Amino acid sequence: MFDSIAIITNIGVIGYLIFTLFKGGPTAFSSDYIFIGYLVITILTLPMLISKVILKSRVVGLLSALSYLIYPLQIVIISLFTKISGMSMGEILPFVTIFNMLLWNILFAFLILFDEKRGDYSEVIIKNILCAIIPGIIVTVITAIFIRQKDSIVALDYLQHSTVPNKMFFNNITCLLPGQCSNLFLQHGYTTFYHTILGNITTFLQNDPIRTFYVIDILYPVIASIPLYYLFKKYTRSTLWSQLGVLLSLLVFVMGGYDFIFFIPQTFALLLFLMILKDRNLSISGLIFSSILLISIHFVIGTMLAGFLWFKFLIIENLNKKKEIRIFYLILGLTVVFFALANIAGFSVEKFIQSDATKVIGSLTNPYYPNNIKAFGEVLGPIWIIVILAYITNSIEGESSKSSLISISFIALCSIAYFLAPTYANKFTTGIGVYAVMLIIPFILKLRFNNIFKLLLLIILPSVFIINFYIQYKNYLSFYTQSNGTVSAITKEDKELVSYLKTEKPNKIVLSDPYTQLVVASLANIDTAQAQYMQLETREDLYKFLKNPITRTHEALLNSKSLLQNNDFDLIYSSRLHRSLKYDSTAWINNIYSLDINSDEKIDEIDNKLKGYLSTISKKDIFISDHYRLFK
Amino acid sequence: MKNFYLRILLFIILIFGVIFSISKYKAFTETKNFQIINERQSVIIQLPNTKYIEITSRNDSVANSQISERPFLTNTDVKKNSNLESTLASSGTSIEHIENEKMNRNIQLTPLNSEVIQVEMTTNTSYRYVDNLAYKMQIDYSEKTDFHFDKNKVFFENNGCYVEVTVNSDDTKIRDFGNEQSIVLVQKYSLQNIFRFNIGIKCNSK
Repeated sequence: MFDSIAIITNIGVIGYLIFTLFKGGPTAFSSDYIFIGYLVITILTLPMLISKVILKSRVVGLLSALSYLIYPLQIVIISLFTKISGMSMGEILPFVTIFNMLLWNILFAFLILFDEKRGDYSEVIIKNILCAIIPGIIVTVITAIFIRQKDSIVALDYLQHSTVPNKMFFNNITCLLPGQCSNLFLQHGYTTFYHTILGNITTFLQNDPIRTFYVIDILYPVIASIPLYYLFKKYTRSTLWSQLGVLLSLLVFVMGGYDFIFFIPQTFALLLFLMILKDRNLSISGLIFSSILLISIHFVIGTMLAGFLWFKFLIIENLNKKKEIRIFYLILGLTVVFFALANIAGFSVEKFIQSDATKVIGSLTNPYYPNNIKAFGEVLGPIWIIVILAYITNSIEGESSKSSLISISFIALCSIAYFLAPTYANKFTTGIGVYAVMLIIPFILKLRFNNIFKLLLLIILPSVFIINFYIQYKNYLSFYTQSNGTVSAITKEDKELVSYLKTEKPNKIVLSDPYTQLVVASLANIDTAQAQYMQLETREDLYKFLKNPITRTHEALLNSKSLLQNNDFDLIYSSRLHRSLKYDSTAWINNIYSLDINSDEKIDEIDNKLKGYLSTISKKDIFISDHYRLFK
Repeated sequence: MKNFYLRILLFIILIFGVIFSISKYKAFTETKNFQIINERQSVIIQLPNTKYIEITSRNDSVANSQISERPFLTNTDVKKNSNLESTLASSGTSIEHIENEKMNRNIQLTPLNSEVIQVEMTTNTSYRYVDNLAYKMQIDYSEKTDFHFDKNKVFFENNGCYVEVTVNSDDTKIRDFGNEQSIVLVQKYSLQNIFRFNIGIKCNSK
């Protein structure tokens, strides 16, 4: 029956796509929700099918995680092929994505049609996956209806990361580190592994990027629910409680971590980590492969997650005696308390060791006592009390189940990293929601409630999680709330600018305010002065030049770091720059993250001195809209 | 037996969790009596009656009967958290950090509920102490009004809004500035001054 449901659904979607193709041609796909959704699901689940059908392994496990390497591998092969054939990447990459979609369908057919002949259980697999995605669908519906506005982008990360596949597609550049492709990455935090997947979803078929990012956000909980379900099934052996575990895990909004909210390198690392965690008894070689895989996705969070795997292998797996386990729990608890107190007393890695990094940023990146405790508390809200109760009970009892040992260890290690407060400490809380749920579900099961109380728990627990999730998510969205009430990183004025620049591309590096630069770099593939990471010194030089355009300030600007030794530039005089000059609003000069989202200030008049100077250096004033002028 | 107590405890926690979540949700969705605008050169508390309360560093002064210095009349660095929430943890607190060379001033405004804002301002300045030297911070209202002074508080009513400023310590005195628009909070000068007070706002037309 479950096989039939899956086949009929897939045939239905394919039928719709064929109908759309005949009705509107291939270009109709670029902004079609069903097509984009289908693309997201096929690209993100293809490795699971490869693992099951080709590698004869599990849907969720180390091999399925390693199967994601198919995407960087494809790019390497295509890159070599373009060098031999003389073709451009842009000509070949669309076929790669189409191939991946076809491969998904072939493997899906193989899974269902051929498994049964060998007596395998495709019916069971499909049933498990359907059970797994039900909580994911619930979260998707809640997010789409109550939280997100249609076609909204609420993570600047997407804009930044999309510049890498853009460079692969439009400029024939293949790179191992994103900084080699795009100048938007100040530090090397990851390889381009993630970007090869993002390219398949957004760039290679030239889908509408704004809509695609929105669909990724909406569907990502459904994808994440698959490894989560298998993980909870491993520890609870109950379908219903596993589904509850998945639902609650998805309903934790980790500020800064964004576990299952966005598909970005750190959350991708978490997804593969959960897949690997599902594997029983990883060997040393498995651990080494896992570590390389996770670190290649995110040098910091991947390393932390790989460290967890080694911690599990070296310490947790070797704890047997109750006394040892009790001492282990006690040490973890006391260590967390120690680092929390040290933090409250004023200790922070960011303040004492990473002062150079904070100088570049222009401020500290973490909230401090009492705000950091408040932010930490808000991740789980009142559920923290249950976590503490479970911790105390399990410590006293010397609870030896793997779910308890792993989750308490991971929560403790995440908390220690958070309170040590290196830069962006909140990223270290990535996954804390999953571990907390992994701790409290078996704890509740152990209490053996009768059916009526179980039903009550099934109602109360999700209610508490949903409310906290809603408030946390909405709080996060406040940054992306424009003055007209639209909640999205892209304003309607920005869209006009992008559509102009797509047809009339500037030839030189483009200077503007950091936010506008980010928008044009990602959506129009324009080279900018490091976009949102334009260095503070260059921001100041730009501001001084705009305020006082003379040879001295012009030269200072040209010699500025983010100009990357270019001896000329085109200037987008944006609404954001105009407002900054008009009201002396200079916060963006002092802090790298101080960005202004609104671009609704009309450019009524540009300073004559500036216009005059720009014309003496042969910059023609081009009117793009009431909110943007281009000097090139 | 142990399980029995744990079950009861768990349910008590969950009931608390539900009540806590609902009250948090109510507070979150409740229309507030004010909006904190922390994007310009000063911190502005916008009221629904179109008027506003302004706290600007430029008006701070270190003074006695003979001298009057303005430590932040010019500033070398301004940092505000209002538009830093994209990748950093959201705290719900508006923070403005002003520097003038080695002197700095940090103000934090935390809405406690829809009617009360908790304000904490810390200044680090470096003036030589002389007799009766005081640090004065100023709170301005956008329109002329009648201030009523009580022991630890000052209040006024204007255009359907009732505003009350309450200081939490005896070290801080509230004074009338004399222009019918401003009040001044005064502390004995020290290298570090910390002002803590609440601003209560109730409006009929929120």
